[in-house]
Amino acid sequence: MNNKYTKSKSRLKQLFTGLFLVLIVVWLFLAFTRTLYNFSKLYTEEASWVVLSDTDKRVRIFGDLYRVVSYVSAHTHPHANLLFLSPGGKTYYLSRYYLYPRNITYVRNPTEMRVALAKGTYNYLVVFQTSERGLNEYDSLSWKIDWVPDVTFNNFDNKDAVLKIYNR
Amino acid sequence: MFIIPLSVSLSLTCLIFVFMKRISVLPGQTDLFKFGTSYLLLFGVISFQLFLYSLIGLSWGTVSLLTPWLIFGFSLLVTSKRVQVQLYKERVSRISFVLLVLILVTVLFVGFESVLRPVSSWDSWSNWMLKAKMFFIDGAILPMFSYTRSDYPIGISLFVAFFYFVLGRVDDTSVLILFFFFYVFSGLVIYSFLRKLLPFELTLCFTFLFLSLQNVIRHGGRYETGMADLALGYGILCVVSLFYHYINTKDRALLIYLEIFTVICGFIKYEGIVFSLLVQILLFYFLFRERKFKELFVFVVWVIPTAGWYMYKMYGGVQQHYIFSGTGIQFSRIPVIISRMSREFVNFKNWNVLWPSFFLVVFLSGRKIPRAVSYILLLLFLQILSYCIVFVVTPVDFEAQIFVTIDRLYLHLAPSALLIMAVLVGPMFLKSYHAYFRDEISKNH
Repeated sequence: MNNKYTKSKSRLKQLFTGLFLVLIVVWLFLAFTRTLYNFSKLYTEEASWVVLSDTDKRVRIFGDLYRVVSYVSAHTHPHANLLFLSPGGKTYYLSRYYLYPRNITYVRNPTEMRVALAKGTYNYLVVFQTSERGLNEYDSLSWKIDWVPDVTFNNFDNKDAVLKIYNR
Repeated sequence: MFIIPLSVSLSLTCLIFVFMKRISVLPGQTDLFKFGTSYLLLFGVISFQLFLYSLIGLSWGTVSLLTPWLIFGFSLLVTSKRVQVQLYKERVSRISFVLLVLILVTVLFVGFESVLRPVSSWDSWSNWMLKAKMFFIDGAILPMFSYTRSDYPIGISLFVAFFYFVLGRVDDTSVLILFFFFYVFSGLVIYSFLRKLLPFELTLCFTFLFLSLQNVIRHGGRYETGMADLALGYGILCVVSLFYHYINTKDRALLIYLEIFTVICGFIKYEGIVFSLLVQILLFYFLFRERKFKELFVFVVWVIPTAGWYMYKMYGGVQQHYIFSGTGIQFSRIPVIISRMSREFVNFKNWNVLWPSFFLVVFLSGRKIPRAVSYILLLLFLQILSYCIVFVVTPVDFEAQIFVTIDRLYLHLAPSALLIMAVLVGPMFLKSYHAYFRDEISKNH
């Protein structure tokens, strides 16, 4: 009985050892083919990046969002206080990164915006509206703001997108 | 422009390495292993340098930050004898040649990719790089707390900010080379650690298997570079390597460096703080079991900087981490968490077959697992358990959180898992390895 148990245990061990060796062979095969595939990307994917300027690379990565931050950066003071009515989190967080040292306060809809304007002092109100999926978390195209913007920019890939800056 | 951070970081790493050689840091370890860990030390020293300046009110600037390094380098040059680096003399067989070429191609590819694009991963620009930019512009740490309301560890951001000062401007493309070095130095630590235990070909094989993991490549140089996860994976790898050696040798000198490396891990990411705490618990258990009560003093090395950082955060007035602002423990989530976390283990796109191989080897080793390895395995298990606990208590959508973070969480442990797998499986391969190379040699003769 004991002998049988030991035998079946050692067979099981042999089976798992074999399985492990198969896994290692599969792993080496995957690693080898993926190395070749990665290297081929230098011609198929990356060659087009090499020739791009720094700005073009950023536009390619972030799309319209990079145009937003470039435009706001060019039309506001570096140490300004900005109230940003943003269509979603990504727009706000990327703006916070690119527009620093501008101080940005994030609001998600016109109601929050009015409350913030009543409470705080801001140099600019920035409003960005877009229908782009992934950016438009708060249905930004439905926002109605009656004031006349000081600057408007709408040269985006997304045809519905519009950026408005109001001086305060 | 990446040439500047590349050459400065490598030069400073070499300085650290020479210093390590000079004062006989990490006794019993090979020079290559020392060099492999010296980048982590560089990271720790630079982060600490900026933190210290901030504490004592010294301003950050190119001159003020580089001067101590210049003095340090000059004094090493004057006082040191010629440093002799000892390396293994390897016989390059056909297999090892192929593996060397594959490793070289992979590393060059990742290095090229790392500086091809500006930082593009969400976590990087919303957290690590943002803070680095703030540190560079503000020249201080405290304004960051009030603006970002983030209590995350700031080691990575301080490290990057140092190189912004070296460059004299914010350049979020060229500093990505620093993240590529976490990739390279992880490979170096794995290679140098395993080379002591395994033959050249097998060591190269495992190093290649690690360096070619797609998730590691993405964090080392492609779209996910600029995040702190590979850096933490490298830190954990260094700690695990030293922990393994310490349990085997019980050399007190190793213990101090183990604690220093553990502190550095806690300065990289929140998960690093949890990891460093787990190391303390296991280390305490080990020292207690071995009745090495005199060595308990070593915990001071971990307690002072860790407590210091917490006090500094309190002084900065930051809120507690959002994880702890939830409604409590949600046990009903556990089946979903286990299912989602298990699924990542068989995500071949990210990991090839690392995790199934790792679990199989642990299972096969059974009771033969050496003592040092069992400590490491327990450490890795507890770390995974800590991730489970986070998902159980998180106030945000836990399924979405698992989906976006799980591959990064496993990246913290992947280098160590591969290392331990190689340690366990090495003896199994050695028999067939020797038989093969005996045949090769006799054929050549």
